Amino acid sequence: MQKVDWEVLWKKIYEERKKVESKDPGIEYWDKRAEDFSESRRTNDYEYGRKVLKALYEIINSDSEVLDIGAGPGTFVIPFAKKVKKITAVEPSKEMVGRIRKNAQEEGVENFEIISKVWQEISISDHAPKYNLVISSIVLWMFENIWEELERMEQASKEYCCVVTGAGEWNGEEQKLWHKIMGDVQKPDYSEFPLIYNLLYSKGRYPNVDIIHYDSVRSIENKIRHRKLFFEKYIEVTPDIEQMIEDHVLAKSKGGKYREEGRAAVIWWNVQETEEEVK
Amino acid sequence: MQDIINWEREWEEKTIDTSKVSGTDYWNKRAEDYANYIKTSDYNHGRKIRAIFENADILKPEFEVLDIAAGPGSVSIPFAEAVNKVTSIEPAIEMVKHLIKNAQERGIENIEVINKKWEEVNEAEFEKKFDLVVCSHASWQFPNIGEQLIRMNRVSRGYCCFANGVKSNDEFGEMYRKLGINPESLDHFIYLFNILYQRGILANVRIFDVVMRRSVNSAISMWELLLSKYREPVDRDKEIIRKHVYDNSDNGIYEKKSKMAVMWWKAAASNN
Repeated sequence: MQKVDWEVLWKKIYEERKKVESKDPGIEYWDKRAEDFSESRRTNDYEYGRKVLKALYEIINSDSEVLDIGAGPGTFVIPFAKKVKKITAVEPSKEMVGRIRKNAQEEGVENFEIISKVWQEISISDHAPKYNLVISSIVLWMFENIWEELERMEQASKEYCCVVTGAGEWNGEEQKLWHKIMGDVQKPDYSEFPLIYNLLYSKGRYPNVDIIHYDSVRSIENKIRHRKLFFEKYIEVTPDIEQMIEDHVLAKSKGGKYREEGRAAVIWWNVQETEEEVK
Repeated sequence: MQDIINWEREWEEKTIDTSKVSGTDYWNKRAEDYANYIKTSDYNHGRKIRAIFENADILKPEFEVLDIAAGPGSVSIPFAEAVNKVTSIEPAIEMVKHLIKNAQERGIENIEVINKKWEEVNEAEFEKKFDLVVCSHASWQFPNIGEQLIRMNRVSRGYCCFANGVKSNDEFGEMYRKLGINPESLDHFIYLFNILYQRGILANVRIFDVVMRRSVNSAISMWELLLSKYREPVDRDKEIIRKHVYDNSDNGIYEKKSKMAVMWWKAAASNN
């Protein structure tokens, strides 16, 4: 077989995306995204988080301690805390952390802790091997050195790791909007799946997969905000572009809400069960 | 950018020769040792596949299940004990005889056998007829896997599933070297996983431990027949095989632990 080095391929995809970006918005981006993201993750009573939790029913129980990397607005903190002993959320964005606290208060959730840092800056030796499950959802695309970060996740776990990756594609309307605004510029590739699966498998892990389907609902205002922040990474958002985004969102909205169907792959594996790297 | 490999084309290239030397005649000869393996292992992998579908809350008592290349009933028998009906497709008549005998021994009456190759079954007759279609340890016999995939989806009104060895050729590697043969070694699971993905099918995956147990005679017979696909075993080969089997046996039982993967998807939700 044509031998694929999945790490190299990952880096290539990462670099290609960076080339399209006109600026790296940093953590500030997530501060600005906190409001729309919180709304979308709260859709249908945390449907996304609940479906991931359900996929992991074989490996989670009321004694489990969980580390959540890139916790966002409490995507997992809220539904998981109700089932496990404790969940520790790593989240560098102050605004996201604010949403976690607010959402947790609203749901009466108290068995969580927040580490307000970037994952890469956390020293693993302080944490390992403390957790039964180390989980990360749609965060890894931000890491240039994928295997290094996956190995650090494993070092923090005494039983299982889980990576939830987006497994959807750009829908037709979104592609149209991209090219309307960006012209011929190749749309950025955020796909983590199935590459992460192939990488883990080639490294001798035995990962399981559950495909989940979920809804994300945002107010029109939040969806416009989301789209604008997204495009700001690639282009200066002029009043004309703003108008295109508004038209796009309004055309797809119903009853003041913008609904999207999402698909994700829940990949989980036992960190103690590995084989020699496949040659 | 992830589409840098055409997995389906590679699969075809790598299975075309091995599938040719493993026809119905071969499986007729293998029936005896294979049936011994399945029974001595107490239907280990079939039971585990069934348990995965039970735990995923998929398997229902009213299910009709299709088992492609059923052999001596490795999967058909454990499923027949839990569902309404199993239809077993098996081209090798000697395998069918074992399947019928094994079912009778366990008082199972809800298995229907179709003594044909899966490729020769007219899928139009079975349009959306099954709740679950299982293809276990058999996919490598179909070089045109994409076409078979479409046919599996067509006869299913619920789920389809592949069950395969994971990195399964590793355990055989040592023996192949000793015998000086070099069959195409292919990790069926990871190919199928990517083939499905490239066809727009996102499969669920469970990887699990299985145990193969068989009598010493069954293991010797398996190795001699495996070798005969490539050349007639001579005395020296037979000695190598005997030594390997006895070295790996305890109380007359040859035992190997390995891993299998089950991949399943909703036929209705796939793009085909």
